[in-house]
Amino acid sequence: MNVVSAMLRAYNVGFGDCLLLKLTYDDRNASTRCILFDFGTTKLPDSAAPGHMEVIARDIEAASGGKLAMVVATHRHADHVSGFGDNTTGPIIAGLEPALVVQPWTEDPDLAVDATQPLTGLRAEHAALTRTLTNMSAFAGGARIEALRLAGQHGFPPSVVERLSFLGETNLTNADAVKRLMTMGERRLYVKFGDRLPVGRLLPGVTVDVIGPPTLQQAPAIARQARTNAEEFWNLAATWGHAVAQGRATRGDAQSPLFPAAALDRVPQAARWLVPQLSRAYADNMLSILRVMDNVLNNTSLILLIEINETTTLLFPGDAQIENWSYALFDAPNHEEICARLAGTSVYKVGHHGSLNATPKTLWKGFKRRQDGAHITPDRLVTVMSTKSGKHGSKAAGTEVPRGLLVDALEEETRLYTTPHRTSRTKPWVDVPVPLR
Amino acid sequence: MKVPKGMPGEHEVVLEGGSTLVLDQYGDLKFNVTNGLPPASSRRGKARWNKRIQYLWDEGYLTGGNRSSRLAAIHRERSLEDAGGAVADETVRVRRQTEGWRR
Repeated sequence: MNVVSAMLRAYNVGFGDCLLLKLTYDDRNASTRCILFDFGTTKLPDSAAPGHMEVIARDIEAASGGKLAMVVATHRHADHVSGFGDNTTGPIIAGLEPALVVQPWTEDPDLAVDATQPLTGLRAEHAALTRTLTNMSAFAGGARIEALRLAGQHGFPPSVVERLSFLGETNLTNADAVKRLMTMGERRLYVKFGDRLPVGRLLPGVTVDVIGPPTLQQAPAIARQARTNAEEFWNLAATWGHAVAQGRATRGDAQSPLFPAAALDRVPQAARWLVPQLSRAYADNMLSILRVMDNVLNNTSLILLIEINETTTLLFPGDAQIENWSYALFDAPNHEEICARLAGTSVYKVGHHGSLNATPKTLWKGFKRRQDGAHITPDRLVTVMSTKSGKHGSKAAGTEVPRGLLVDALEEETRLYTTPHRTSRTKPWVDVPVPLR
Repeated sequence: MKVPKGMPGEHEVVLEGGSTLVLDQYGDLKFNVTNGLPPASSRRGKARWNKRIQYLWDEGYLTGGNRSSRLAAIHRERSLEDAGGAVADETVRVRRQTEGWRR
């Protein structure tokens, strides 16, 4: 069986990712096979009508003919998996009975905190990282609740509240999504750098290689979060998050107040000027911690290199940042061979919604199918970006998402498809033809 | 007033004058020391304020963030992101600078 045509559908989910790769075969009995990459959002498009995500889920159902070959959840951020947890859209996708559900090794339930066997060596370190990720989620939950409380304070900047809520929500573990991904489909795989997915029968003519995330042994930069001091920090942060969630972290309810005799019902007039300053410092601290954890979670993203008919390469890097990319691009023993394969990429799903650090310059400069407007051939690199501006980073700091400099380069040197302008209420997506060679 | 160099046009900054009241032992006002905003006609006063605002912007006082906990934040972020001080950490730091779309 050979793949005779391929099409990538990128849905406009606002700030999030949802892409469907549809392969058509020359065999009549199994003419199409579909792969779903992520299904989540943290901010719907401004044009979205009620039931927007259901419209998308129904289209995935129709386009795939009621059966998915594979579902890929690149990492646990809400903007990539929230749709799997939703009570309406989750069952629709689960009902498509994917033969294979693929997630990064950090999501392996065997690494959970209540593992019955004592873990040793590298496995213990992996479990420590998993605990840290769980603790981060608890902190994010607390930060989201505190954002709501601060929003009620007179004069507190709404932009800070919005940033806190957004990052808090993004990093919150969607328990329903995690549970559904753990039980969905016929077979589930938790994969790492160097794995080749067993898709020979499922997707004939296609190979899927995992080039990220590396394991802790391979990439010490990721291992930092599993070290004892970091683990202790996140444990404390999680305790605070749980206390906030239970309403025990506010001053009046503190279990052991520092000054038990102090009158706490009213701030004296002379000290009132200090309240907004303290609130702002409190919010800034939460934001700084949330940014660290956002980066850590992004670096657990799967990076998949897909080859069709041994000639056409597609690259799906999720939200991987430079720490995750580093192993494949620079540090792996076979990094030169990987770079050579990456250079031949025909379709690139732009990493992390077009952010500053998710399309490493080495990767970009290596793409040999980049062509400027004056020298366009049918071989030109195709890029696909799912994003929504104004949600992440700031232009003044040069951290806006999508990053202007990157977007300019993508527009100049590739055939760029983006989601934000796909505002149709019935067909909120863009179809990207995959150029098979 | 001049917008400080490097500050985006939409950035909002509130300028306030200040005043200190000094009372005598009977609680009566003895001194009122003021430092007001410069009148529109005072070129010298405005120049002083422009210089002051430029300084505050350059030093990060007007970015909207809170500076009181910045030192603590630097240590925390270094501890969580760059812990260890191993050679690999320095390599990652350099890659963050060179591989991103900063310019």
